[in-house]
Amino acid sequence: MSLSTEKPSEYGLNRSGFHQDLEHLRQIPMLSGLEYGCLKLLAMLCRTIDFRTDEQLIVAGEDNDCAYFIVSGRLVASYTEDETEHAVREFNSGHFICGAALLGSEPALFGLQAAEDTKVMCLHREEFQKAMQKFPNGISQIAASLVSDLVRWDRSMLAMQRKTGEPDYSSVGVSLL
Amino acid sequence: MAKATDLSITKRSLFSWVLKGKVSLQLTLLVIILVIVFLRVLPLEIQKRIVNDVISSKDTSLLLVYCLIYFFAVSLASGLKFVINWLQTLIGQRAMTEIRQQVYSHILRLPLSFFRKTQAGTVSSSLVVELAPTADFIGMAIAVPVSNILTLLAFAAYLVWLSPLLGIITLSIYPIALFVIPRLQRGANEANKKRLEGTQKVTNQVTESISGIHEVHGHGSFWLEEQKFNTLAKQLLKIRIIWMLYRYGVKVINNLFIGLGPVLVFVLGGYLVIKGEIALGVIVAFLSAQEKLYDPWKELIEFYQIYQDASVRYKKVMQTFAEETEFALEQVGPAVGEIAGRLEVKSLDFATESGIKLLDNVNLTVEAGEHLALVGFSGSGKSTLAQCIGQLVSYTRGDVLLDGLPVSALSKEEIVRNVGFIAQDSFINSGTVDDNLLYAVRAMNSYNPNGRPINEPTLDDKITVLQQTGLFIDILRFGLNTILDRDQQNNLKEKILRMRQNFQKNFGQEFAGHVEFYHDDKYLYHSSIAENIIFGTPLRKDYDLGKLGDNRAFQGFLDACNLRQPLLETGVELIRQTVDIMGDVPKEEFFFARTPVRLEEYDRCITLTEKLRALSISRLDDDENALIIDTALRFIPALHKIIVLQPLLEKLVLNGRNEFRGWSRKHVPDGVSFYSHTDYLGSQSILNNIFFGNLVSNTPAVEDRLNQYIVFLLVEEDLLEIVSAIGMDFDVGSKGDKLSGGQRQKLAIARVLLKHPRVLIMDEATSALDNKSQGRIQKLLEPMRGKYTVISVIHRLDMLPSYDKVAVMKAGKIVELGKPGELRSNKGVLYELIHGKTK
Repeated sequence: MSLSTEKPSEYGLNRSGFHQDLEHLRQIPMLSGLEYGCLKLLAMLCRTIDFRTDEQLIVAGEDNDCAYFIVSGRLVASYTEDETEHAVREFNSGHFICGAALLGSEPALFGLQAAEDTKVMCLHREEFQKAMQKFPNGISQIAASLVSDLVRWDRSMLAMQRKTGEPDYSSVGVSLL
Repeated sequence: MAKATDLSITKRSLFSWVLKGKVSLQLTLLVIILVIVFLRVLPLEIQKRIVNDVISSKDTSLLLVYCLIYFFAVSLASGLKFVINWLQTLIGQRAMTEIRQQVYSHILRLPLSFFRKTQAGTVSSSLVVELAPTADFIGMAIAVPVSNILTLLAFAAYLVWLSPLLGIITLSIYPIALFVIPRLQRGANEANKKRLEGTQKVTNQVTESISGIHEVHGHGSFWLEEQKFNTLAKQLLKIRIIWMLYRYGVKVINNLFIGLGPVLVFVLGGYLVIKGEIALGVIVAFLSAQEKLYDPWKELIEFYQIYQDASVRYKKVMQTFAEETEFALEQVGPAVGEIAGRLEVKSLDFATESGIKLLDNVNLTVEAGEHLALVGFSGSGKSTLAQCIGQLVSYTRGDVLLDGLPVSALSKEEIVRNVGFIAQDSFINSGTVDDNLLYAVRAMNSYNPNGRPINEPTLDDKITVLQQTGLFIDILRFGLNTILDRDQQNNLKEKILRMRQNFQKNFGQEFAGHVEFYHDDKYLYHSSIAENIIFGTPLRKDYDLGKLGDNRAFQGFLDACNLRQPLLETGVELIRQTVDIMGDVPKEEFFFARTPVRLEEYDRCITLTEKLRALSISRLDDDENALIIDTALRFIPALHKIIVLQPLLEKLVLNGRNEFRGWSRKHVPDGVSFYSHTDYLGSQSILNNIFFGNLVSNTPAVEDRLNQYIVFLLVEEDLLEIVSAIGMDFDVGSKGDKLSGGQRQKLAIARVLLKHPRVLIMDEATSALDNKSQGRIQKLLEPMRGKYTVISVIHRLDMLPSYDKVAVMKAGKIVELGKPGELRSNKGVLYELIHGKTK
């Protein structure tokens, strides 16, 4: 993993890293409702990082203080139980993950690793929360977006259960939280 | 026995400050006033004598004597007037400073509950803005009324002495004025209050409409909003007109009474002169004296208004802070001494002002040296209990006993000597890391320097505690990122050069991909444009990298190598982008880390951006050009991603670097020492000197390896302590905003550990730390078992096995208390907290 320094030849591009990151931020549903001024500030504060294959982004149990937008490449989330690692999900270019890390500190349940050379845009909790002090209305927009995500998650889980033929609804209901 | 503090500050009257500690100054003032009153009346008598005696007797020598006396009196009066003003200022400003100091001292000691309902802005504006007029009043309090009343009386007496009848009739208008003007002023005050209320209503309406402007546009409700505003604006218009009428009324009535004086003199005095009852000189002196009555009268009226204003503001400020402190500060009588740390909480209640019980009949015992974890859901009262034990808040019923002594009766001095409190949101002060590290120890020593001061920790003590809290490597990095003073620490520089050789020999290969080495022909993307051009260490102040924009010779060089115009365009683009992105961003260093625009220059940049909307760059003045050029010269492409480095500029900068070598040797041979592998680079940090380049990667894995090697090299050169001491001089910024949340929390823990408290209270003190750091702190507490009592509010329940006892709280009560293992096996509330509610 290395902090992207954008190779010398890339400095010839007309679009700055700032504009690219602003575009990425606008694609993220959790953040897209924020004021444009807020997105611009976040775009200035976030960083692009290159991870090499197998490099660890998040260690399970650690406090991850970063949200990631995958610019290119692939990441795998895993859950370790009794020293056995189980792959949970794969994330590809365009995915935004760990948005909740921006809102609070909790030990990560899942590890996150680069399955191939991956470029991510990284937004730190401290940077995000500082920006939110300037745009306090943004927090309620993000909260509303998270509530929608929870409901959407429950809907998809319910649909999935219905498909099984013998639905077990005991593990759904995250939107009741 | 705790000594009570002086709480009477908010009860003191405004007038009490007038004489306190200033009697000799006020007496001096009075004497000068008496002299000046005499000197004001004297010219009137001289005037009369010249008209009545000298002119008729045609005695030129007497005329000269009178004129000299007149001149002397007027000159001396002017000189003394200046002395009076100086004394007034001295008295007023001294009183002001004294009030501010005492009020601030009182505010700092107010209960925490006060600060929950009072905003920091209110405190600072009360201290700085609202109290300012009191200085004017206190300075004037004796001088102005005494001098002006005496002057008025002296002139009045003189007028009566000149002509009793004319004098009494002329002066009879002043009592009428004294009756009418205060009534008008009262009306003005009332109208002013209404004006403030009306203005607030208008402000609220505007705020509401603008906040919901998208709704206004959505509904097209422009006229509705206008109507609301217009109604309030019309009401305010009426109020303001009434207020202004009263204010002008005071002035007009005052002027009217003053103006009526001469009319009476002409009518009655003229008649008496015609009748031959008084001389013409009397009328001349009378008119002069009457004219002079106006100034003291006007000053008295103004003083009255200043008094009213100061009095209202002073009362408001004192009312705001009219609360009493909860605990005595200093111990009186025999000291409690060092306690063992046994803690008993008995039937403890804590209720808010509105009567909500945050703690309800809490009972708990912690033996000396035991470690207790407080756990529970948010709002269960854990932090409130910790604050009651640490004497941060005053409980409403029951008791907290420390070695059998009630915490509520202990002085703050005894508490800070024995108890260390680490809050979740620890506050870091501006200053250096070292200042913050020593904060708790210095606070403890500030109570009674002759009592039981502890020695300031040594460098070794500080390094130990930094290592224990996991902050040492960060501090070392601060030290490594420091640019050493140009002419100092030559011995250190020599050692760093040896480190460079060892680094290249032993680790150069391994870190080759992570360092951007300095090379004559390569552009440095992690360095500023200025560093890329100069490519050396400035030896003259005018060639310091931050001052090149003002350096005319260097500007000439930029012109000569065609760099000036592209730099101006780059600088303007950087400024425009920054202003566009940041807008009215809070003035914090944090936001300026990713732009070459400096915090202190931001306001100028906003103005410049406005100006550039109407003007071209060529129309800007020298200062503005210097600002733009300096901004461009600070541009680091790898850090400031708001614009791209254009290939043409990159090429020109590299050409400029080559040109600059020749140019500087010719024009400023002593100006720059160019980068050389064998020299110390004075303009670069210690770390960059070791690498002979810039570190371009800061990933955890690389950082860990690098830290190990750097520590190894520093130990080899016996520099570890020196560089960490340099790191402790790192300025943490306002409220510690140059530190990360984790660093701030580690620093807060370190400063408390440095004072070795017998009872350590940690209120979620490691919540901003990662697992590794939390584990490190937990490990640090282990050897303290049996020696120091620890009360720790925790949310990481996997840490419970490290504690002797755990108290589970719910809705202000302790619902479970016991050993962690026992409680888990009981499958009660703690179990539920860990595993979630079972079906």
